[in-house]
Amino acid sequence: MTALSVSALIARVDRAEVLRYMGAAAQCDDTLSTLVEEALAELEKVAVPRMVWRRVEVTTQLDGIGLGPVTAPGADLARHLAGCREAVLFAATLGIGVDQLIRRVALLSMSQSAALQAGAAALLETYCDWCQEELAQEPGAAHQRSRFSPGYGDLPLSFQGPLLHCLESHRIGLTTTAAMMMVPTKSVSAIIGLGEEQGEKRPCGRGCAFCSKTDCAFRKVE
Amino acid sequence: MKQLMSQLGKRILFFDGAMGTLLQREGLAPGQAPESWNLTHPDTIRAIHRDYLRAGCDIVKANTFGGNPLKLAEAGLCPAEVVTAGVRLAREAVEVEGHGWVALDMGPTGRLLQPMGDLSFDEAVEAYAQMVRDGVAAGADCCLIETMSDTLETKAAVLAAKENCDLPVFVTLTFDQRGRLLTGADIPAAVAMLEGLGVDALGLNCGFGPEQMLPLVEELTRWASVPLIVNPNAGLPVVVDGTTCYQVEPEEFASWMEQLIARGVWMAGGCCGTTPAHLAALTARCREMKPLALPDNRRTVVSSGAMAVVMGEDPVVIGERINPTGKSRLKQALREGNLDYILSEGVKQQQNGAHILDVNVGLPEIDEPAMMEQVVRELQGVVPLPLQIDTSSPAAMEAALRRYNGKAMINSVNGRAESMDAILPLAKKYGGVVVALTMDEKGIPETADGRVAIARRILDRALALGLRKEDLVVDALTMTVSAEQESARVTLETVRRIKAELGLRTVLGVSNISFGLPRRELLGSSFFLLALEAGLDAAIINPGSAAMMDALAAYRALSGLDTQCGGYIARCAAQAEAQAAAPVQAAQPVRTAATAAPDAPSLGELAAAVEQGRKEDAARLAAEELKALPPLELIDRQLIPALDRVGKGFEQGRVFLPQLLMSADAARAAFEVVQEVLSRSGGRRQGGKVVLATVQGDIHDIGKNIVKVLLENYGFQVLDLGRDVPPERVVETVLAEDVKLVGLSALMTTTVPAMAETIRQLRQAAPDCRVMVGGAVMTPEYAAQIGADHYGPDAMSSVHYAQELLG
Repeated sequence: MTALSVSALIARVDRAEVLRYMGAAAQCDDTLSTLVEEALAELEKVAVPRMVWRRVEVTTQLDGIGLGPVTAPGADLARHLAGCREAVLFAATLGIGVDQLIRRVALLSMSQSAALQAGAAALLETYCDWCQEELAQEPGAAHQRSRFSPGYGDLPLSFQGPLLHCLESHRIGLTTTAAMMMVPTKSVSAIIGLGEEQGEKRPCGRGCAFCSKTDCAFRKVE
Repeated sequence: MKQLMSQLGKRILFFDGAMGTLLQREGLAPGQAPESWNLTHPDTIRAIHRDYLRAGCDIVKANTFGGNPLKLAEAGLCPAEVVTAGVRLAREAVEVEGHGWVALDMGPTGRLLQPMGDLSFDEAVEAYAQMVRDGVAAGADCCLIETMSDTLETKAAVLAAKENCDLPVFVTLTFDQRGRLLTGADIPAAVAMLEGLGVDALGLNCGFGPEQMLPLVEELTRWASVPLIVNPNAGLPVVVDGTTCYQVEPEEFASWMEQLIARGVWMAGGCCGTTPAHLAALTARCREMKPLALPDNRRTVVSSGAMAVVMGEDPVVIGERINPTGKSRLKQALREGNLDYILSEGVKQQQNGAHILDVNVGLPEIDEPAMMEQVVRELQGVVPLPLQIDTSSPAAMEAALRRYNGKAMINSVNGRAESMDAILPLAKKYGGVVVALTMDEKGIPETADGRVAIARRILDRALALGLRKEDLVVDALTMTVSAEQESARVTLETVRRIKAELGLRTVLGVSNISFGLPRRELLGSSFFLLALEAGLDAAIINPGSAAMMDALAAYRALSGLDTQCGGYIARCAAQAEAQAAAPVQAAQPVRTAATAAPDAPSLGELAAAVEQGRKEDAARLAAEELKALPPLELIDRQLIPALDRVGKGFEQGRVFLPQLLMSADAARAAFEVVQEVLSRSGGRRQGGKVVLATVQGDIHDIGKNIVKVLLENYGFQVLDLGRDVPPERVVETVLAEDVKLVGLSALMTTTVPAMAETIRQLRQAAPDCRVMVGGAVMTPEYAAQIGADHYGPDAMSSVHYAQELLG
């Protein structure tokens, strides 16, 4: 894989997305855009994006769906991967420096801290998207399903353990707490199906209308 | 058989190569714990050890890398059984081959330590200690702590080894190619900590191949004074078909290793991807090479988990603000356990240019060891600077030094026998740079002769205990010049003579000099300059004092330390910019379209600054208005109405979250100023108490923090229990502090049960306490289901609920 500098990633970050994560709606005055740009500049200094991935065979198992050495329970991931013979187990993180930065800034300014939270979330998404673009260069990996993470649908968060263990994610500094929260917090773990064609777009497989979180700011009315 | 340490330095010693790589070839499934094979495939393990010994290796790493109890818990294996079997198999191979030593191999726990993660330092030490006890009993010859990427976890492992055996302790770390650990430390920082802990050798393993290690080894030879180890992979990892491979062949591997040894490495072996063939090539090629003499890299270095600070090259600023003496606001924060205030003092000092932070939390009515331990831990989570532990309590000193991430400054020891007996052994055990005060049981000598004599006595004692001269920094003691006319001259002379006669580094607390005189900063900064010219290496000052920092900038420019006066020019430019940015006094209060309702009456300037989120202006205007208005009136007439208007705008959808937060920040800045005034008169705002916590298992706290800032702005006294808070702690606090409202936050569906449990326990223990809940996964239905009294869809809603309930 080629490497992309953090500053190049920052340049790619969709500013509107950062504002949306901040709860800023569409409006953006100078003060706000300065806040966002300053946050991204701070993140550029401390973020060290790292990723790890592993290609595995998808098999049907009695108690779930087999992904190489591990078996993921539940039906939603199986539905999401329908038609995929292979999948990529994937994890990425921005590094612990981002957590430290956010905690430091939160002591002095909630607005800057919120901008950093939002900026880091958008940066992580940008990085994961870039990783998937790179992955697409691999033979047979051109068509990828969207990232499906532990905690989506009926795939329990506890699957984080076997998934990260299998990826040896500690090599990129990605660990979990006893309650299976990822540390650093700006991290992603996911399963990406490799299929013949584009499959189901929504990772939850059902869409917002079926979701129980009715007051979600990101809920899409269809 | 010869002792391992007697051979070290006489010839190159060879570690073995990879174990996991070979086990995978033998059929170990991906994801399966390699250590399990100690029990299921003992013959295979023994045979691999023998292959390495026959390839000429001296030290075989027992197959115990992942054998710590925290890691094996996942795999469902018994740690004692696995470690004992692993060491025994290596021992058997050594006996059969007739040569070699066995290393108890210890890798990371796989968990991140507090404050960034959830594993406590003491738990980590205990996990490693168990391995050490089992490994030593089974016959290990040395401990190898390897593939470490976190200095704090490494320290836990080293302490566990040193406290549970007398075997040599070797440590190898895994840096990235920038020379940083995953948790941030660079080579100087890691070396300072490890040498301070007294490891017998240190170096690098894993990560990449010998070629990429070359620049890192060169860096190590510039910083380390103990023998070096390298155990690289067989090249950079290459992913082929989704599987990691290592492609450097044995001969190429050996030729790169030859170059590393030629630069001063004493112990060499391999990590991932290396095989007996790699090691055979290495030993054949390098067996006759002679270890180079150890370099003399002895500097005065303190470190944190992120960086090192060297004394003696450029003057070092030690921030003095975390010290309750004479600071009523900090005293109040310590009594109330308001950690955030203390931490923010640390962050501000870093922003003002401090290199090291002094930490003193001594108040008669608090549990100092516990508070010191907590403040040091949490401070290290937010500030990358090294810390100076400042306490007269040896118990507090040890509590902090033990768990400190890095090599701390120790403030202080003095010439009294009891002081030296209590403090110097702590420095020896945990590492540290000790501040030696030139005073003893007879007090502070009036002459430089007397002070130098005490410094000499402390130095002799330190050296006798095995400390290094570089790890002592002498404080010549600044006295108040208004009280003793000659004292400034004596102090300066002492600084000069300590350097000239003893060759030791010096430090001074500078601020004392001007006590009782007008224009204190003028005297202070002038004395600072004189002391710097006398050779002062570090000063304990307030980095927020422009006069002091200006003096330092001028000194650096004049003494040739500031290349092309770049630092001086940059400082002046920043000051000019800050001045230009300070707004001209607006004649009319400004009203913004976004925040003010059309019919709202215009408020004062301070209220406008808060509404518009202008933080600096809000603080400045608050200070001005306080000259005319009593604090509480200022709050009621200006700040609260402004907050109300912004809050209303937010609820009506005219103001969005970022603006609400900017206003909250501005209000907080104004309240800080007001609080200063109130603290001085011993007063405070009398709002009701609210406990806030992110529930057990959840580590996301932005929502809780937003609620906290808003509640505090409205005068509520918030007891913030932090994140990942067990139900019992919430209940205890509610009972102990007689709290009537608790706010709980959860971000993940998996932590909602912890929220429900917290509410259940609260209902039982404190039936009249109300509970409000919020967080990304919360819905009104969920909230009702788990028995909460109030669901807060946003931060303002919790303010209203608190007002309704507590008035």
